[in-house]
Amino acid sequence: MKGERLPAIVVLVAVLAGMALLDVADPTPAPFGAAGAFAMPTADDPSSLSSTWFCAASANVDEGASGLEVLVANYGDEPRSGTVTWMPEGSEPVLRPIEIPAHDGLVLDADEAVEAGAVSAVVELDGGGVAVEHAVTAGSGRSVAPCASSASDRWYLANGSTARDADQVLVLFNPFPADAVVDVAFATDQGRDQPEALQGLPVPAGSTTRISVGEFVRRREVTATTVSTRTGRLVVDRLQRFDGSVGRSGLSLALAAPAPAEVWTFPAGRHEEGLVERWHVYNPSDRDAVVTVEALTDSGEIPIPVERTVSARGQLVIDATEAAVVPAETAHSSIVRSVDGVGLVVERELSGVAPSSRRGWSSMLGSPLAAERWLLAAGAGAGQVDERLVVYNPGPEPVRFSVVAQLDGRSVVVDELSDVELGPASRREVTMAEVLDDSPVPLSVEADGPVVVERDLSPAADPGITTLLGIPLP
Amino acid sequence: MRSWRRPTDRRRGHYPRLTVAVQHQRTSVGVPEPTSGATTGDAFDAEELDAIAHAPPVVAVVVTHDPGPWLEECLASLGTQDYPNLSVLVVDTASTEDPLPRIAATLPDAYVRHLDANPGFGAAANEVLAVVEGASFYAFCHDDILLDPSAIRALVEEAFRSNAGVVGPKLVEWGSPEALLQVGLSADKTGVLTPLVERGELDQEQHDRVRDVFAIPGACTLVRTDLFASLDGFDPAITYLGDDLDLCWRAHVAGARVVVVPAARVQHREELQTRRGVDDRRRLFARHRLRTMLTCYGPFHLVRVLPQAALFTLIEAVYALAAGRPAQSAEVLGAWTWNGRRLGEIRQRRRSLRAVRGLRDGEIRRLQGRGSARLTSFLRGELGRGDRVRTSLAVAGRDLAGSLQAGPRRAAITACVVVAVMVAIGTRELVGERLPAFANLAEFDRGPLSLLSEYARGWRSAGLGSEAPAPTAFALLGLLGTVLLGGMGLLQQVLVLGCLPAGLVGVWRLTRFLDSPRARAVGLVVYAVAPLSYDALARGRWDGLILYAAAPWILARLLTATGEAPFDRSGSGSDGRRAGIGRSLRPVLSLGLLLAVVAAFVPLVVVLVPVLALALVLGAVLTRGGRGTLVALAVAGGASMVALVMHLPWSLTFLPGNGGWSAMAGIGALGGSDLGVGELLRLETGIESLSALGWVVPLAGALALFIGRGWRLAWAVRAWTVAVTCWALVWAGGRDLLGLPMPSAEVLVAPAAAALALAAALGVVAFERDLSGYGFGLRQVASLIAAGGVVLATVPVAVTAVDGDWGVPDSDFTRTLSFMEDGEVAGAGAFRVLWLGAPEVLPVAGETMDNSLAYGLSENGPPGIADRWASPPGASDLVGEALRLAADGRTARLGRLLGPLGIRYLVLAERSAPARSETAVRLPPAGVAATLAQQLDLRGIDVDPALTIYENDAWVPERAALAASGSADVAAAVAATEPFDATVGLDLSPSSPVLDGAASAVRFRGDVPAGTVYLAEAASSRWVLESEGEVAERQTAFGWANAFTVDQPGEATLRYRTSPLRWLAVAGQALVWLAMVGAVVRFRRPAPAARS
Repeated sequence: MKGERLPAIVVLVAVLAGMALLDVADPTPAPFGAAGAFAMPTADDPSSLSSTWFCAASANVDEGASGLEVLVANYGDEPRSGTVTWMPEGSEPVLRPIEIPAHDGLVLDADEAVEAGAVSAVVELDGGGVAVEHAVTAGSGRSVAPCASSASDRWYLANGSTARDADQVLVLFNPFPADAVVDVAFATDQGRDQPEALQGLPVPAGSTTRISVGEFVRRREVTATTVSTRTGRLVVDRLQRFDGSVGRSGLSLALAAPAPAEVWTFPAGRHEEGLVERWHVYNPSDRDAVVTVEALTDSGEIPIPVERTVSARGQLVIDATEAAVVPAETAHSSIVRSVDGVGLVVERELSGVAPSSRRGWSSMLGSPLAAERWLLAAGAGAGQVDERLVVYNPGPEPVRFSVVAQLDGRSVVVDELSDVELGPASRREVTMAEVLDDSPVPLSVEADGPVVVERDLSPAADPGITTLLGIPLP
Repeated sequence: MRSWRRPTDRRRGHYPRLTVAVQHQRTSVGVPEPTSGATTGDAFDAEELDAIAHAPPVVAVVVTHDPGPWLEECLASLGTQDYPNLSVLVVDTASTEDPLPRIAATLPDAYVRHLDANPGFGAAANEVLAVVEGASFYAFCHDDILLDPSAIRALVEEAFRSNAGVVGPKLVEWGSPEALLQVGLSADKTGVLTPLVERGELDQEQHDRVRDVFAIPGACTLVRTDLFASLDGFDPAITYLGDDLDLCWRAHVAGARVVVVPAARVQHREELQTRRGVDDRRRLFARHRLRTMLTCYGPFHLVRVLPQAALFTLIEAVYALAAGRPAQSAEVLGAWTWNGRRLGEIRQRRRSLRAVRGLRDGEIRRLQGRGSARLTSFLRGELGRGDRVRTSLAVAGRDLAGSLQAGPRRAAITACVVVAVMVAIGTRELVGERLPAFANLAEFDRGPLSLLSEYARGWRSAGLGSEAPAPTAFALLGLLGTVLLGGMGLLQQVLVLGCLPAGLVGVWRLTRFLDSPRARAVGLVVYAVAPLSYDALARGRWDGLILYAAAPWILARLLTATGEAPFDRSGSGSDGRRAGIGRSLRPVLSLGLLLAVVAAFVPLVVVLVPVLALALVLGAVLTRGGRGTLVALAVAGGASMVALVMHLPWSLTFLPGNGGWSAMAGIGALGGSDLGVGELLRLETGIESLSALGWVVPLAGALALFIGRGWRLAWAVRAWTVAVTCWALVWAGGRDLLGLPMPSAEVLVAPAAAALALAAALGVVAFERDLSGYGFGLRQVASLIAAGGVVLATVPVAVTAVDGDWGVPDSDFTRTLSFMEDGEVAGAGAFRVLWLGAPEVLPVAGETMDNSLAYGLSENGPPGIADRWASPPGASDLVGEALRLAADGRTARLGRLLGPLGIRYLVLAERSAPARSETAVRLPPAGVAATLAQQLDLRGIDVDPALTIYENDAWVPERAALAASGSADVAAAVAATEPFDATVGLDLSPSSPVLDGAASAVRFRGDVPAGTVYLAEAASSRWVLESEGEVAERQTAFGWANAFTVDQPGEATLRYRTSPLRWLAVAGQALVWLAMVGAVVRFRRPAPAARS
């Protein structure tokens, strides 16, 4: 009987032991789709059933004019139709049908549709392959930023100022049919601040709420911001103005970041006498973070990365000059990286005064993504805008890229920028006026490997600096 | 009027003595002359004549019918009686072969009367009233008894001494006079007889005292002639069985004593059934018992006792049904209809009895036993042994008495009582209350007719509607609900809470082959303390409860199918049951019928059972034997096929392409379960935990592996193989290693629990039989620890039971979602609710997406019982496609995609019950909430933290006059074949509801405007809309639904025309079920040969 007992017991125990030892599987289900992984505005694939864009900010030029333009570019082979819904402050939404031919662009002027000082817009189209950006124009200048391709319950900004010469406005746009309730918190150069009036702030359904940050957080040189919702979802823009009373001047529009990331890439950068380059690092987490700033110069020089610690829920400003991250008057790309896995939000500020030729103020979020295709809806205009395009290859392999213009319903590769090779961890800066005519046309950058694309749309003659990333098409 | 008084009656001295007359020479007209050679009175000498002159004349009435070879012995024993004044009258009831020559050869001076037919014992015996005069006593005898020479004299003497009206002897086994059969009978208030001695008990004169009894067994009964005449003899309507009770009860009513005289000994062969050829004893007993009760009780006591009898009958009927013995159920219930048809006769006999009544019912009740003998035997599990009712009663009585003395039986009784009390206390708060509807525990919100209609009409409203066959469960629930007169709440209580006792009874039966009360007790306790059943209740897993109830029964059938010791006594092969094809088919059909019933609610069982059988085979391989397990495997496969056939055409939805695996396994409630090996070994699937004591369960189950020998070891290994197989399925399924959605853990763990209970019981048997073969060591220590542990393991369960609800939430989403049934909401038109969440918490059947997100639909509010079964794929897949589009970020207008599907609300569930309940949180996959929150046409509604509810601003009523905002071309959109391309840019929210008058789920009335009337049900040409008598043209809308072009606005009717094929299918399925039940009943009934 022992001869029967032992094998049976051994087999049974072995099976149970095997189950116990192999019990390492993670039963956590796979995420549901990609909608929850929104890190920055991205364009939908042309095969998408529909695409929706949210453009929050307007300049509030005066009571009857918002100064908002929505720039829609269709990169697909099919015309797109849809609607733009203008949601003016204090009145009912206005819906307008729109049609965009294939490989073409469209500029929608809010002031032609509604009379309102502040208005937001929702653009809905019957397919993908579309990129939407928005521009605001006020007396102090013009600024362009991407619209949001998705809403979020968290938004972060690493920079902003309520200094004496500054006027910072947060634009909270709720495009949904249900109200949202938000909390707003700031990390400033003088510590954290959570104004009571901005806790549990309701943002009604289909409306825009503007917060003049200076009314709640006064005289702060730097304000990093977290907007979180208790219920609902939002789109958040920041409109920053400087009146020039202490040198800085200009208008800057920025879409906030919906999520922290560990790596932020800035393809362009430069500092020189009169032109200050700074990285604003915001750590919205509960852990201190160690960050490094690495730069890649056109000269091939690789400076020693700078390492700093950002306290939990705090912010840190790293000045290119003070830290000697990069040599002066050298164009470069930069990467800000969290070395211990803490999610961060990073903006790069360019602030120019005389004697620099670039005068104005700009602060833009870096890119947490790299993609093979980038859409540049605002297009190029060699006359009024001194557009420069920077393509950066962050990877270890060389890539080849082309710049494609959407011209007369066709997709045309710019001859001079066709199949350009870009080595590993290298960048290429192009002045578009040299390769395109005056008329602004939507552009795209198509590469055979992941790249990051940044534009400088600063006016050719007037003060003001506008820099922004393209919109990736993953 | 004469009356017969009890011995205590002071007037008993006035008992009329009869004038004695010698009857040898004279018989009444009609009695044939004695056969040749018969002696006459001239043979007596003077002394004898003197004795005769002083002995009251007794006529022994022997009723014969096709007597066997024992007749001569019977007659000879009468001929050798030492009673001096005895005549013998043989009443032959149309025997095939005339017994006269045999009688003449044996007892020449007997009188013989032939009857042309066989009217039954009582009616035949009543012939004595017509043909005999002057006798003082009648001794009614069966023809298969053997009287001691002094038996009649002892009876007569005691009749005089006790002034008794009815006197009976001590009955012993034929050929074994030392073995007692009966020494009088007791009866309870409903007439259920209880023996006063243990059948087969060694006669050591321990019962040899004269005593009053309630009834004398009918084999040999001495009755005073005047009493017999006053009572009009036996009840002629009582053919066989129960005549003795009836006569004695009426004798009591008349005031006569009924006395048993052990000094008179009679051997009895009990050959009645052999000659009758049918086994209808249970049916006859039930009928005649009720008839006697209706006859003998006065009105007051009848009102008191009759409802109790009805209740006991109902309990027995339900139990018999649950035990798979529908014939028994029919027989006990049939007794009432049988007597109902004879109320006229009964009234007449009541009047006759009233004329001789000498005792009140209250006095008679004092002669009866207390309580219910039937219930006692029922509780002891003896009632169902079919043809051995009488025997089982004796066994029950014996067991009951023995249990008070014998340790093992006392342990078994104690275990049964403890478990029953524990379950009763633990369930008390749920009994009689509305069960919350959560998870898999749907509310029985439909009436029986509604369910039957949905089953028959051919249109399933679940999901987005379909013409797929409805689940058979609709018919079963409808029929059961009809039996309960529409009491669907009661039906739910029975079908849900009844699973606990059903499982415990099942495991008690599973272990009955082990012949060890201790083993049965341990098996019962192990199964009772297994947390899975209570987890199943607390987590709303009705499917798990059903398997908990069914697993022991299924396992028992598989084990008996092997035909291997000790499970080779089931009657499937070796006990002489119906031979031939019936013997081969019986286990298949029996298990098949059981599986069919279970599969109606848990379809996966048709796959699970062959897997269990395969595990038995593997276990047999491990122990190098057990060819019988291959038979069990074949039986399991055959039974599954039988079950599938019985569920045709519904079972066609199990085929790939029609629904496939998910139609059987559901939406994958096991998904995401991370039950570890430890939890599985302790049979813990969720909330309830035995903590460290939980290890007692596997420890007890493992005992047989270490100390068992022979078949104890072999079956322990097989039981463990079954358990490990089930655990492996749970383990792999919970980690998505099988690539298939699996049902809740309880469904798979329940068979493991039954197998473990069996293994634990085997351990006890091994302890009793095998342990003595070992020297003292670890085995003994382990045995003692296991035994003590099993006792301790009841403690935490008992503590849990104190709350009385096993952790079942005290509320559900019905109240939370009551706003959906508000007049304003309902007035906006019929709508659907889309449920999303982890499969474990979803209260509705549906589909599972590849990342463990499940979805399902309900109509006009929370889901009900009809939504528990998955709707077949087809149009319902559109919901999944729409969700995927939204999840991929390819639209922010999910509402518009779902709107034409009639979906007004989207409910994302994180728990199966409201947040204040203690149900576990099961978050949906990351991104679901974000996806829904991104939609521009979904409006959040705050109701309960356990749910995230959105109202779809773009919804379209299920029956609507289509309209769109702006200048959209509705007609072109309707004609589109790609539903989402057509609707993503189309705002159909201006559509208005029509046809809101619902006569049924497939017939609607109301006014319709001219234009496009939309029906959000899967496209079918059998939907017909008639407006003002004109049939509207139908077209497929949006590629999946129905749209009608109405030219004549006005009063309209929308209806679904059921296909004639559907009616044929319904009739066919009903015939299959009837045939299967009939076949199982037929094969369960012993063949005549077996009965002998």
